[in-house]
Amino acid sequence: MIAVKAFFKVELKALFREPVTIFFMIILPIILTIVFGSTFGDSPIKEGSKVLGIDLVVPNNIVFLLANAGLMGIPITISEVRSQMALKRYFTLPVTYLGYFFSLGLTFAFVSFASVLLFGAISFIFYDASFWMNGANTVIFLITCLLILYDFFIAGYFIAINIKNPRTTNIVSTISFLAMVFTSGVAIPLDSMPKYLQHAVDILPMSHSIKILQDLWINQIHYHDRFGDYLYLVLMALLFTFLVKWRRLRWD
Amino acid sequence: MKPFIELKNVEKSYDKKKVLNNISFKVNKPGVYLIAGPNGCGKTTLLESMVGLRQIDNGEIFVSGANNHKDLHHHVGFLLQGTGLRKNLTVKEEMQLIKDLFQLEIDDLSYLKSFNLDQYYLTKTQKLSGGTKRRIMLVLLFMPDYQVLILDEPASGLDTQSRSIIWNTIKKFSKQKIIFVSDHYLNQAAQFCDYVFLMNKGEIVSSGSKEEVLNQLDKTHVLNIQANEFRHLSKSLSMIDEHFVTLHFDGATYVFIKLPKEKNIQHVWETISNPHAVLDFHAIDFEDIYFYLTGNFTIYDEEECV
Repeated sequence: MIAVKAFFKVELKALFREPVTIFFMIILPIILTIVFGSTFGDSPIKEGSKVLGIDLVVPNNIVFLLANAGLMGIPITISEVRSQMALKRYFTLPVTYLGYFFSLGLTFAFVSFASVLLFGAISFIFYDASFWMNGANTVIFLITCLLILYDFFIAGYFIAINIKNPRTTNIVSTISFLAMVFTSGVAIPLDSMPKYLQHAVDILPMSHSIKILQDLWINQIHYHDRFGDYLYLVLMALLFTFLVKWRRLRWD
Repeated sequence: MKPFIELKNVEKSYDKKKVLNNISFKVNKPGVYLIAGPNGCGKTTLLESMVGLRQIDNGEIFVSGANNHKDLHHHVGFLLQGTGLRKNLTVKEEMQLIKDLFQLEIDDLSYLKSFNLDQYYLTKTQKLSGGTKRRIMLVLLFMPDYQVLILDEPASGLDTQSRSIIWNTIKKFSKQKIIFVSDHYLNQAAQFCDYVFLMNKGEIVSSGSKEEVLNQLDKTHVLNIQANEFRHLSKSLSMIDEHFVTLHFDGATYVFIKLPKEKNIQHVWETISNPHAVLDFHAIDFEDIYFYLTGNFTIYDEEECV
């Protein structure tokens, strides 16, 4: 625990000195909140519904943030730490392999949480977002967020394991992230896409994550409808855990 | 008394190339232990294996009586080649990491001042010169009071002044510690070391105290002679030492001789028929020993050479 705390402090300082990371993790979610909030934030999602557009922006942004932290933040940070030979040095210090990566994940989770508080506050204060969830759904919402976080973080770790070159890591993680953003409904509404593309995006985890979190956030989840989405996320978590388990990240 | 570090028949290969071959030694006494040899002889692999960065194929490495030590990194510190500092952190923050990990109470500034590095306390490491980065790395390494320090080419690639500062720092802090240092500038490194391990092609070819290594060869001086002149000088060389040893390199022949105690250097110059053919003449040093042990040497054969 001593080592996790020590590296958490180090990674947090390092993260806050990376302007690109701060832009994607703090600034961009705020921009998205303002843009979508101003565009359709005050419109009901269905005729006669009290749920407004802004109420869907919040869960969308949470998924966007977790995907960004996992798919871009984790692999790019590992790649940079490795290229600076710091990873090799860390493995000569009293920290376990798991301990270091746990502290790195914890850092990104912490910044994600802080970012959610920020754009969440903006959504509630300026765009009249409402808190619809009951107690049970709030707990399930938090657990689902952890599952989604784990999925994206372990996918990012998988990228870092398999690609050594920092430049290639950067390209692969950016492409993975952007592909999910454009096929998840965050950037372009899924309804406006061709039918075949709407099915195709189900291959990627972001759309599943958004469907679940949106339904939970507005307190209208039907678990028989979302069973497939949950199954997808659980299987993805198991698959990537299995994949990363038999291959340790090399420090060089 | 149990040896603090013991290596037993350590072997390591990359693909099919053996880089460590049957390495065994025990170390107990504090001091600076030099692991020397040319690039690619296995120094770094050996040191990285000792600190757990590399898995060995065969053999065992014991630290404080145990292998696969859970607390290995509390006992053994490692300075890697390159720096390993995070470029967007300050020296202060790098020190804080070590303080947090080892639960240390240190006054950062006075500690840095003892190394004349206090002016860099708030500087981001990316703004430091190569030599200063290495010095900061050493300073960080000395913070936790490790029992064993392993330094992989700590002064490599630095200017003479930085090399000297780093070696002096190492020597100053070696009094109660076991310090392994690798370097390929053998003679300079040997000045600061107490014990020497000479490595060649993954094997330790010689080891012992500096005196033991220097005295293992029954020769006292080395002449570097132009290769084409050697045949003409061989007779006069045999008058100085009839069992002289030669080692042939491109364009030059190294001649190892034993100068009797009653004879001085003047005797050599007077005996050699053509002193202009001698490019260099000096008392035997560690690099000579290394060449002798690993190079293509031939024992002088009168019939063949005369």
